[in-house]
Formats: sequence, C-alpha cells, structure tokens
Amino acid sequence: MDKQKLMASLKRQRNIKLLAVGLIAFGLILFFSNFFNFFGGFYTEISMSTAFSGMLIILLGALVLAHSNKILKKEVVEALVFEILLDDIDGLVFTTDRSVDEDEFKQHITFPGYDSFNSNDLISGAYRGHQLEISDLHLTRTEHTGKSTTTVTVFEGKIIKLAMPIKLESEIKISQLSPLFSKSIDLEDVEFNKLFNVNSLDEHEVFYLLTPPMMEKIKAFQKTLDGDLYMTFSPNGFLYLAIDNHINDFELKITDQDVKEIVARFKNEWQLVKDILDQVIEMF
Amino acid sequence: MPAPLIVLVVIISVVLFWTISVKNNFTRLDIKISEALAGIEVALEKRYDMLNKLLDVTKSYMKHETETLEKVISLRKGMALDELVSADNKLNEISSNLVAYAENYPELKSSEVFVELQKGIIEAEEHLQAARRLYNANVTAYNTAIAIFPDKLLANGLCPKTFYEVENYKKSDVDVNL
Repeated sequence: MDKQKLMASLKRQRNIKLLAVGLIAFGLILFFSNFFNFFGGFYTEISMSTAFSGMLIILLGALVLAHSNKILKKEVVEALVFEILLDDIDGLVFTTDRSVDEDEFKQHITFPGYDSFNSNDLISGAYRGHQLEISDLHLTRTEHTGKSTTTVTVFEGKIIKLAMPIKLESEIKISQLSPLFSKSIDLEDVEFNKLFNVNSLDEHEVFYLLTPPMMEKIKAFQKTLDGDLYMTFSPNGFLYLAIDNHINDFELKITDQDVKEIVARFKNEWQLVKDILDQVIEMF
Repeated sequence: MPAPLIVLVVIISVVLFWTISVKNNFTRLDIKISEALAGIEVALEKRYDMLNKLLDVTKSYMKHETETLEKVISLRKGMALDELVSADNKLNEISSNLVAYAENYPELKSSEVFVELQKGIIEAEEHLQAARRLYNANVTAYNTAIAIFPDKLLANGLCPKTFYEVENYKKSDVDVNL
C-alpha cells in the first residue's frame, strides 16, 4: 500500500477516534449531570431522558472507536506487516482478524484454566522450509471473590505451530507449570527437571527426544524468553509452542502518526519473533 | 473407646499404611526396571536387524563380520543384563568395523541402499541410547528408594541394581580383521 495513502488512512482514523472519544466524554457528562444537577430545577424534570441519551451517546462513541480500530488494523497494519514479512515467509498469509484453531491448541497445550480465548494477527506460511502458523493469544479468566468480580489474564503472548523433522510415536509436553494430577518424568539433568515438567504416555520417547544436548538447547532457549514456555512435540509432525511473554505484536498506538516509525517498530517486533523461530529450528 | 486406645489404633493404621505404600513403591520401581530392560532388548534387536540387512549388502566385503553376527551374537527374549551388555558391545564392534570398511570402498559407501540402511542404524542406535538412559534412570530411582531413611528400614533383602554400562568403543582403535 502506498505510504501516502497509509498516512492519510492513519490521519483519518485518528480523527474518527478523537470524535469517538469526544462522543463518549459528552455522553458521560450528560449522564452524570443528572446526579450533580448542574443546570438547576428545569433539568431535573427531564433527567431520565438525558440519562438515557447520555448512555446512548456513550454506546455510539464506543462502537465508533471499536470499529475504527478494526478498520485501522485491517488497512494499515496488514499492509505494513505483509511487506515486512514477505522476504522471510514463503506463501505468506497475514490477517489481523483471524486466529489459530482454538481446539487444536487446547488439545496440544495445557494452558492454565481460562474462560476467554482471544487470538488474532495470524501469520501462516513457511519459514526456512518449515510450515508455520503464528498468532497472538490472550487468555482471561473471571474470578469471583465475595462481592467483586475481576478478570485475570492467565496468558498473553505468542502461540506457534511449526513443522518439525522429528518422528515421534507419542506426544511429549514440556511446560513450566505443573499440570494437576500428573507426575513429571525426571531426566538426568537436575536443572532441567527443576525448570520444566515433562509429561508423556511413553517414557522411552521422552528419553529419545530429550537427549542431553537437546535439554541444554531448551534450557538456553528458555533463558532468552521473558516469560513461561510451553512446548508440545506431537506425533502429527508439528511442534506447538506457547510463550507467555506479555507481548502483543503489531499493534498501533493512538499516538502513531509517522509510518516510518511504525515500520521500524514492527520490524523490531518481527526480529524478536524470528530469533525465537531460529532458536527452535536450531534444536533439530 | 478410651483415648489411649484410639491413639494406638491411629498409630498402627499410619504405620501399616506407610509400610504398604513403601513396599508397593519398591515393587513398582522394580517392575519399571524390568520394563526398561525389555526396552533395551527391543532396541538391541532392531539394531541387530538393521546391521544384518547392511551386512547382507556388504557380504562379499565383510565375510568375517557376517559370521560373527550370526554365530556370536544370539539375541533372545529375557536375556540377563550382562548378556545384553555383551551383545551390545559386540554390535558396537561390528558397527564400527562397517564404518571403517566402507571408507575403503567408495562405490559401496555411495550406494543408495547402503546410505538408507546406515540411516536406519543411526536411528536404531539413538533408540538404544534412549533405552539405556531410561533403564539407568529407573535403576537410580530404585537404588535411591531403598537407600533413603526411613524407607530403607523396609528394604531388607533388597540390593541395589547394577547400571547398564557399555564400553566406549573407540573407532580409531578398531582392529579390522579381513
């Protein structure tokens, strides 16, 4: 997409966002004015209609803001990120509003308990000859504590599905959390056993895959990450990775105006993802 | 029921529960060792089969090794640990000789069948290595369980198991017999 058009799109969406924020602010003033009686006796007589109007305006503003974000991501982020990834990913498909298959990842990775699965920014194609899918993932859980209800983030980061050349008979799950009612398989490396839980129905496959050099590579890989690591080696020929590093890539900030700055930021974010992929590929 | 009697019943129940738990643990660990040994047998057999196939291809080049494989190494089910180690060492020797020989016959070394079979042998050796490591991990768990206090009080008559140790076969020292 032409840079001029991108700039124009950014400006247009920024103006729409400002309008939306203005609508929300106005709606809030209209709503709360009933409680503070700014305008004297006449106003209190029509308080129900102004409160209701205020709520409608707030809702309208929120809808406009959400829609504007969606359009901005579609128009700007998809175009910029596609250009950045094109040299590295063969057969590249990038969509901001598609996600990985939730059931597939639930089947292969034991995430902490969650109520809501939000995934977007799906990248698919082949990197260095390995088929892959990458997506951002945000899992939340609603917790009720007496009188209050809070939404807790249980996972925020990247999920990756990568084709691997290793043939296995049984699935092997490696994670930094201890799944309930499941005993970890202990290997010779004491440090590895302390860092990770290893679960599989076939102990022999675990020892076949996790040789001493492989364990060293996984430990070194985990040290470079700023978050919990989940790895599942599946007999279907894929490695499923989840990295809880609290990073949500390829997002626009409300202050973004310069396309060059956005591109530079996205390139840095993609480089970090490439570093992860390179380390994982080097393990095989 | 008087209080001292209740206390006595509780103590006896706890001791009984602990005894059953520990004895079952020893049995479970022993069974895991037997399972792991069976895994080594399977891996050795696979390696034997792959080497046999490779020697079929190289028969004319390696008559001695073919005879060794057929006569000296007789793999059967339920072999003892020392018999498995002995068979493993002999297979190591033959495998090393094969590699050394193939270096002298480029047309053999480059043949597709030879290359495929070599890959199969490498995979078989990796599985054998995994089986050895699993066996030794189970032996470590068993030996630890019968040695730590207070469980060792119930380990009367139980001896530590032997680890599976294979000779480190140095390929540079291979005595190639023609």
